[in-house]
Amino acid sequence: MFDLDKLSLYADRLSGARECRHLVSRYAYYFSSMRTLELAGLWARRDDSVFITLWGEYDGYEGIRRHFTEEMGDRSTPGMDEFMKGKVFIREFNTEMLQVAGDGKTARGSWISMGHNAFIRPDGIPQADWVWNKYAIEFINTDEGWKIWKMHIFPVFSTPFEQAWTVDSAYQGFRFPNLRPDKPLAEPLWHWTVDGAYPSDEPDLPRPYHTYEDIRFV
Amino acid sequence: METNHDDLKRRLDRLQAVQDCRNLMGAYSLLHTAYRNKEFVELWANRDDDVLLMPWGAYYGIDGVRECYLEHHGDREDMAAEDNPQLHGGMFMHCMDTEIIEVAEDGQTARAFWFDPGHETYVEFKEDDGKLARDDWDQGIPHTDWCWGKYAVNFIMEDGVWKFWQMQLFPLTRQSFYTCWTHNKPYPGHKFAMGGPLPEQIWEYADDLIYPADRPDPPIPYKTFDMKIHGILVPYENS
Repeated sequence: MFDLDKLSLYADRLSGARECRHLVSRYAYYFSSMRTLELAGLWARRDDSVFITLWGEYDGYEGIRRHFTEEMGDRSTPGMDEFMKGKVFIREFNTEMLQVAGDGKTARGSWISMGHNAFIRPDGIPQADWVWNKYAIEFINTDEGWKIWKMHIFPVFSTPFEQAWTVDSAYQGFRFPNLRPDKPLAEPLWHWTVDGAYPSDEPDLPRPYHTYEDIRFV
Repeated sequence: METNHDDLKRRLDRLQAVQDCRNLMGAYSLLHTAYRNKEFVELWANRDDDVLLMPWGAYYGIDGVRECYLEHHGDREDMAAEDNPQLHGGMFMHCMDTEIIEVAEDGQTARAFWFDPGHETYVEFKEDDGKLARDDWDQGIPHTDWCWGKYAVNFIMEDGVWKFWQMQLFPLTRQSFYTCWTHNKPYPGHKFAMGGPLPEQIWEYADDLIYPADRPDPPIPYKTFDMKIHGILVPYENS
C-alpha cells in the first residue's frame, strides 16, 4: 500500500543530510571570511546549544553568539579591517560520517578538517601554520530549518608550516585575544606524544539512531 | 518520473545508499587512525570474493581481510598494542575527499572513488636485537610523512546492510614532511613481507613516468554489477 507519509519522511531525511552538510560548509566559509554574524546564525537559538572548542566551552545560543560576534568580531564591525589584515583561516572538511535520525528531527556527524592559518606575529613577521582538526557535530531541525546544535572540535595538530608536528606537538598558533569561554575544557587537549596512543573516540563513530538521546557524542 | 510507490522507494533507497557508502568510508578512516581494526573488519562483506589490494600486497576473501587487519596490523586492544609503533606514538590519518559514488540501478552494489590526503607519524628505533625496547620508547625518533593516495572501492548490500566488498589503495606520494614529493622514494614494499603478490606494480612518482590514465578508472553509472566488467581486478586481467 502506498505510504506517502513514510516516503515523505525518507525524502526529508535525505534532504536533511544535504542541509547538514551545507551547514558545515557554510561554517567553513563564514569562519574564513570572518562573517561571524552569519556564522552565529547557523546555530539553533536554544539554551542547550553548545560549542566546545580548543580553549573552552560556550553554552547556549547567547554564549555562542557572544564568542563569534564579540570575541572574534564580524568583518563589518568598525576596526575589523585593520584586525583582519594578514590573517587567513582556512578550514576544509572531508571524511564525513553523517546519520540523520529515523524521526528526521536531529542528525549527528563527524568530519576531519584540513586547514591552515596565516597571521602576523607580534614581531611583525607573517606566520603560516598547518591546522588539522576533527569535528563532532549534532544538528536539529527547527522552525528556521536545519541548524547546528552542538559542536565539539578535537585537535589533530597545529604547527608552523616548516616544522613537523612532532617537533613541538602542543597545539600552537593563533588565538583570538580576550577569549572568555563559559566553561573551561573538561579534559586537557590531546596532542601527539612519542609514547602516547592516539585517542580511540575523538570523535566516536556516529551510529544510526531513530530518536535523539544525549549519548555525549559531542 | 516515478509513478508508483516501489519506483519512488527504490530511488530513495539508492540516495540513502550513497550516504551509507560515504559513512562506511568515513568509518574506515576514523577506525583506522584509532587502530580499532576489529571493528573495521566487521564492516566487510563475509564473502570469499572480497578483495583488498594494499601497496604492499594482496588479500583475498574475508579471511584475507582479517589477516591484513587483525594479524598484519592488530588492534588497540591487543596485548601487543603497547609495543606497536603504529599505535604507540603513531598517528596514521587518511582523509577521504573528491568522492564519486555510483549506486547500481538495482540498488545492490555501488562503486566509488576517493582521493586520500593523509599523513603518517610513527616512531623508529635503532634495533640492536630486533626488539623494540618499551622502556626506551621516549628515545625513539619520530617520523612524520605526508602520505597521499587514491581509493577504488566496490560495496555490496549484505542482509540489508551496506558492506565493503573490494578495495584498492593506490599510493600517490609518501615522503617526509621536510621533503618535496618530487623526491619521492620508492615505496618500501619489500619491508612488508605480507599479503600475496599484487596483480600489477604500483605506480609511484618519478620524473620520467607518466601519471596513469585509469588507476583507478572513475566509476560511471551502471545497472547491475558484472564481475567481468566492474570487478576490481578487471583492469589487470585485461592488461
